[in-house]
Amino acid sequence: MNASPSLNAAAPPPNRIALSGQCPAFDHHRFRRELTADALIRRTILAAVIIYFLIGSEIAQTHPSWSGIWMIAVLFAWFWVSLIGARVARQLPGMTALAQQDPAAAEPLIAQALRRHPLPRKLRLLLYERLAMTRLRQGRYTEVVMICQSVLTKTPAQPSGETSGPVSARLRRLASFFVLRPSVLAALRPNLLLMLVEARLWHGDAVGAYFDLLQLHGCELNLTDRLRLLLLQTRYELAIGNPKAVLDHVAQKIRVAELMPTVQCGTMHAMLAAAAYQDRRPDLYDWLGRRAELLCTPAQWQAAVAGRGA
Amino acid sequence: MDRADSDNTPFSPPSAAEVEAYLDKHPPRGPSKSTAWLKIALLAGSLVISYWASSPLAAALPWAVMGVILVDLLSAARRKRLAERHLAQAQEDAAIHRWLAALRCAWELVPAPAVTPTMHGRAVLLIAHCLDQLNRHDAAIVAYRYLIDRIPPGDPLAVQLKIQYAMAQLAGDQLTDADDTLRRLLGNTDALKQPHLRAAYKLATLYQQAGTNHWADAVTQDADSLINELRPLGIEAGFGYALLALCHYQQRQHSPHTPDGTPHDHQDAAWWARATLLLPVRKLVARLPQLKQLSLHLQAQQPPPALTSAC
Repeated sequence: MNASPSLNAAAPPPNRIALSGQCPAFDHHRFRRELTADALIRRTILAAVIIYFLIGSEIAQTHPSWSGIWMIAVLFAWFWVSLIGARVARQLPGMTALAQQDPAAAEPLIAQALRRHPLPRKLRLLLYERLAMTRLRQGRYTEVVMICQSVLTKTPAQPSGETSGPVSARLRRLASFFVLRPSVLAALRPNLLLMLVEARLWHGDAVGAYFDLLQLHGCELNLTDRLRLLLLQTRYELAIGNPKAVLDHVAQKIRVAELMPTVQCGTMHAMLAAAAYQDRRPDLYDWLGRRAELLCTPAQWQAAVAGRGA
Repeated sequence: MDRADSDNTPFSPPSAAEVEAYLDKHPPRGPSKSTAWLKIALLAGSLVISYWASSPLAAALPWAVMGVILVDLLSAARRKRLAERHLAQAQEDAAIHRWLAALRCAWELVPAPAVTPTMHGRAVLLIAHCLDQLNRHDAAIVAYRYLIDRIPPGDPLAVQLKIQYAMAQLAGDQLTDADDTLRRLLGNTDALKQPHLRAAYKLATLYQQAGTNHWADAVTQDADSLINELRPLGIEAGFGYALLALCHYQQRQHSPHTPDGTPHDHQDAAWWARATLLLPVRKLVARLPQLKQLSLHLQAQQPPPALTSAC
């Protein structure tokens, strides 16, 4: 899934100079270049270690001091790379909280972290995910779509629950012990897809949202993501004018909506009420509408019914 | 910490004394500094040996030490990841009101060596919340107290905790202590400007007014402003509306006329209708047993047939 050319065309010019402390507009080519540069530096260090093992003992016999300098240089490089990664990783939880509450404050932190090289691939992708969260809060939906699409091309699909036998299960356990990356990156997918659906709905791209929703139904979701999915799917069904689908299993949907934070819960009730009105079910509309009035303010009510609620 | 194994053994909510002893026995642990220094010393030692000795074995020694350190770091990261997953599972259980399962999971996490101080705090908070919901208010008070003593007083989380602490004290009939907690909270004017904290504080105040027969204080406020004030609580605002219904009902029972001689209007029915629109009567009475009498006298809002038949 590559960044679509039409969306690239709609985005601001990628080479424009970013204001101090701001991330430049997203560019898919720069994103790929950064990942390649990171990988190149890390692989060079690894190659230096392997070469040391292969010919280090021979060098140690002829030039013992060179061998020591080589080893110390490689160790120093490894320490330096780990330190950069560790510093950025320590900032991540703070960035997540800020991206949700104060995107303007989160942006300089993300910009600063993205400028560092080399970063582990996982960490760079996580930073871009935080950038997408910030852009979503800032209402820059075109950029959200581009970032999410680009990061999604670098994240593996979540493994299915099927097991092909005890040997492969044991191998997977062993792999999960030594290699942390695939599971962490696979866990990024649902959030990226949810942001993608939300941005597409804001754009009025119901077809794109449909395919992303389809992918989301194949993902393993936690409770928070399931609640977000329900909210976005309801918005999508309302947007395509299918109130019957919105009111399918309505009792169950209301019970799930009650687990959402207040504003989302109120929005969900308002959307269900709008669907009941469209489907000419006055008793349900009245009951849901009265609940929605208690749960959200009139402005939130209006926004939800107009399809801008999620 | 294996949930599958632990699910087979019976588990009951702990008492206040058990919570206190357990939390004292398992305090939060930060990363060990001596272990970190030991690793650095080992690496430095191996480097020195490798530099002075010329055998191939000595040259490989620092790499072997680094390999061991790497495996240890990966193992520690894996244990931490597992503990985080268990805590997230416990929080999900609590979100879907599986209080006992959530309590058990959080309880078993507290002594785990991979649990960081932050995770320890989150686990204790979950324990306190679950105990409160399971009507073990005395035990919940101990857990809340433990957290309050360890959080800076100005922190918004401290204010939230103190409100929940006051609610648990009120539910546990510690009315004087609850009054003291609520009075002290009034000093946090900045924190109480946040809508969700103000709403939680208002609910605690209503609980206190209903519990101490100060009904007149509760019924004086305008309905619209009360609804706006309690709205951030979401569905839980139903408890506030139910308490307001109780206060109006009791006020009408004890003084049928207002000070100017006119009879009270039936505000209790209107508040009860709002409360039962958000929460079913059985849930209201289970959490606030003082509402049982009221539920027999006032008519609850019924969901439309489309919803009742589906249930």
